[in-house]
Amino acid sequence: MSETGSQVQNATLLDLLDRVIDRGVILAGDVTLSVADVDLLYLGLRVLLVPVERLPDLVNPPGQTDCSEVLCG
Amino acid sequence: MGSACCVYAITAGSTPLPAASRGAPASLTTVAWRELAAVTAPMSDDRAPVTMRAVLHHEAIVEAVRKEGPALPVRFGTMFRDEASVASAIAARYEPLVAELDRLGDKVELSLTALWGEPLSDDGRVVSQLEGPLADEQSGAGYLLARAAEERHHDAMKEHARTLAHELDQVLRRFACGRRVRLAPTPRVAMRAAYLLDASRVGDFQSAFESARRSVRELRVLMTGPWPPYSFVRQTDAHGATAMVGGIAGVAQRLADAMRERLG
Repeated sequence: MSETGSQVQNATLLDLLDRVIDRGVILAGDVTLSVADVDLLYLGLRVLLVPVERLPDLVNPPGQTDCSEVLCG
Repeated sequence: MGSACCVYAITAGSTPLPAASRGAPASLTTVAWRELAAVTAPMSDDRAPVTMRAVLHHEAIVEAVRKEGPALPVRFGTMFRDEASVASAIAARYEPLVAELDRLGDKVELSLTALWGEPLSDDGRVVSQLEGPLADEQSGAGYLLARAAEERHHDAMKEHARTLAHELDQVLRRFACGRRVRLAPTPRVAMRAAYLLDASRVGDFQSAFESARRSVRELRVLMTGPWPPYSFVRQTDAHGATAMVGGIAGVAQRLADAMRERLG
C-alpha cells in the first residue's frame, strides 16, 4: 500500500474510533469492560490509545468513578 | 453462554434483523420496549474485551442493521447484565429515543479533516508569516512573552482556519441538514467537521467536496464516510434532560487528536 493509501486508511480508522468509542446513543450499562484481564470501569476503546504499560494505572481505585484525571496525568 | 447483553443499535420494533448470510452474527437478537427495540448479542461473561476487532465488529453490525431500516448507533461497549436491564434503559429514555430515531434513523454523516499544508517547525508549530520571533524563554519574563506570542499565533491560526472552513462550508452546507465544526483543535489540524445528510445526497456532497478542496490550497482535506450519524445523537439521561458528555469525552477527543497529529 502506498504511503498516501496508508494515511487514508489510518485516517478512516481514526474517524471510526472517534465515533464508535465516544459518540452515539448512551444507554449506560452495568457490565465491566476488561483489557488484558484488567477490570476497568467503562472507558470504551480509548484505552487502546494508551501505552500498554500504563494499563495498571487505569484501574480505578475503590470509590473513584472518573478516570479522566488518570488519563490526563 | 452468559446472560450479559451487548447493545449495538436502537431500531423500530418492526425492523428486521440482518440475516446471518449478510455477515451478521447468528446470535443477534432484539430486546423490545413498546415501539422500539435494541439490537443485542449475548456475551459469554461480564468482562467484555476491548479490542480493535471488537470495535470493527460493532461498526459492522451497526451498518448491517441500518441496511434493514432506520437505526441509531449505540456507543461501543454498552453492555447490560441481562435483557431486563436493556429494556429498563430503553424505557427510561423512550420518548427521546423515538424522537432521535425519527430525526436521524435514515441519515448518514460524512467526516472532514483539514490538515495544514504548510511546513512545521521541530516543535510542531506552523512556520508561516503569522509567526514572529521567539522570545528568550530562560527568564520568567521571557517565558511569559513566549507564551503570549504562542497564544497570539494560535489565535491567528484559528482565525485563518475559520476563514478556510467558511469557504468549504459555503459549498458543502447546502447538501447537509446539520453540521459540527471544530476549528484548529491541534496545531496540525485546521478543522474537523461532520456533516449530516440524507443518504441520497452523498454523491452530490462528494462531488462538491472534490471541487471545493482544490480551492483551499493551504489545506490537505480528507473526507471519510458515510458513517452512521454518531456525532449528531443528542445525549439524554434517564430523565430526558440533555446531558453534557464532558470529562472522559474530552480525554478521548484529545487522544484521537494526538493520533491525527502523527498522521501528519
